[in-house]
Amino acid sequence: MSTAPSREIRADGAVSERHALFLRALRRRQMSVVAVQILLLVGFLALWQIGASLRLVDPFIISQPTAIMQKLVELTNDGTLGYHIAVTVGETLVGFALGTVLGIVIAAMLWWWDFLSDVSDPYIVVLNATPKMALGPVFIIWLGATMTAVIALAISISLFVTILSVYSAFRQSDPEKLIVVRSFGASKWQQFCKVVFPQAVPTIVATLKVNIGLSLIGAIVGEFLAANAGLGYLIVYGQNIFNMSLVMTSLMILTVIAGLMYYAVSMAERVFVPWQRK
Amino acid sequence: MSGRERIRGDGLSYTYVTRAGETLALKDLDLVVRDGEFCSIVGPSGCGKSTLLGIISGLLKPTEGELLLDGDRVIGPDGRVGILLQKDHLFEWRTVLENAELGLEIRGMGTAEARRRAQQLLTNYGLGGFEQSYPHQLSGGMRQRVALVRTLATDPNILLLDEPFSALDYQTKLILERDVLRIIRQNRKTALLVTHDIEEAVSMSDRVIVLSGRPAQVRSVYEIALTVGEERDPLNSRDAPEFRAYCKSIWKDLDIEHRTIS
Repeated sequence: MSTAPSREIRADGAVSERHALFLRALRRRQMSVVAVQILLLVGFLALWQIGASLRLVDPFIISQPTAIMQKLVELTNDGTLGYHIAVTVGETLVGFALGTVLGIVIAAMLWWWDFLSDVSDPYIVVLNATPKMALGPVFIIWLGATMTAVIALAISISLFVTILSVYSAFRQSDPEKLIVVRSFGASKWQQFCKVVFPQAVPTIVATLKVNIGLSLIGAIVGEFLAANAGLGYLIVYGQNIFNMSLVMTSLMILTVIAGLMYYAVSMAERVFVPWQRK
Repeated sequence: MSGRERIRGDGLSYTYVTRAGETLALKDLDLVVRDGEFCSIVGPSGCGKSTLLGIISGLLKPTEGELLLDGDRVIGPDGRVGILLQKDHLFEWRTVLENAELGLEIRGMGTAEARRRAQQLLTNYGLGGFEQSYPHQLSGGMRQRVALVRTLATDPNILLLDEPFSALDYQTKLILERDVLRIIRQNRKTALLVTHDIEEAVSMSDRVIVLSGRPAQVRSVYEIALTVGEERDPLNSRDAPEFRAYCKSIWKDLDIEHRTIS
């Protein structure tokens, strides 16, 4: 047994006793991290609940977990929740998709015609610096207090960042790689498809991750200003009728949705940037 | 080596114009490379060697003079010329096989056919089994080999080698020099190597052209004749009795010692 090669695979998947110890320590550490994370959340909710029940804090102002649960069940059962979630998610996704696609197309046009890029440079920089939230009232006047206005706000917030970062990624494509494809006789369109665009994909994916968050901000602010549906609307409505449980419930759901959408976009990174997977 | 002329440059000049002014990179340079010949160009760094390759590959238009390939005037990148650069410039988002297919893809060759051809070349040149790997998983020597396959896949007659071995460690470089030379001879390609490595130039070439500093002009030309027992390759060439003398003489022509190091 002692003469057996050390590379022999054991039942626990380790190659040696030392490796097994190392793996076990690694697993223990990971489990501790998750355990403490759960404990923190549960502890926080418990403190909140007890504090509110003992009137150490005012439940009217900060609500409490059981009230939020109740509200959650109530809103789910009468179908309001699903509807408002669908509205917000829909607006966010449309704004995200249009802002990103439009941004990439415009960045490609700027790469193609550098004269256009030189001409438009100061305008894009200024528009990017403008706080997009301030455009909210403008969109509402132009487009009415509608979903379209909310989507316009969501687009405007991600569009200019996308143009700037993707355009700079396009411009940074390696000139020698372009020489390689040109020596094969590549047209400008082929240079774009074979080198410039694929080289910018990691930047584009990073932009997607930023944009999904920005679009959600745009959608929520838009709903604050104008809408009669969506989680942003629910929050403002809750504030107006001073129903903190409604506000907190909407807020909580919003947090979960933001997390899920970010996670979904992160998954896209694994699909579109496989060569960076180690 | 008295085949027909593959590359002919007559009075080539090239001037770079930038905001800061003009730089004359090549001045009135004549050059002939014959069919099947392996020819090297050595010159002090920054003397315009790469500019010359740029012109021959059709990526740069000479400011004055004329470049002919097989007697035709060159007007743009041409299927007859393949280039291999100092860095391999493999596309990190493509697998080895997809990298090898790049040129065929751009030339519009059908995918299945391109794939078969790229696959065949990879197998021939010792890269079988790595088709689905990504470039970052390969060593420097293997990466440069993939780049060579990518260049050969479109079957150019003339290979322009722009210091393709200079980024490799010494052992890898010797092996790759030997393999590349063998491949070029087997496929009866004409090759023009630009390098600052005198030993590399002498050991690989039939002829070495020494250029002067910027603007580049031909200073001297050496027909390399080495006495080697078996078939000549870059390894046994280095042991030939004439080898040192060529290197010394070229070194003297380059006049490196008397240059101020900038």
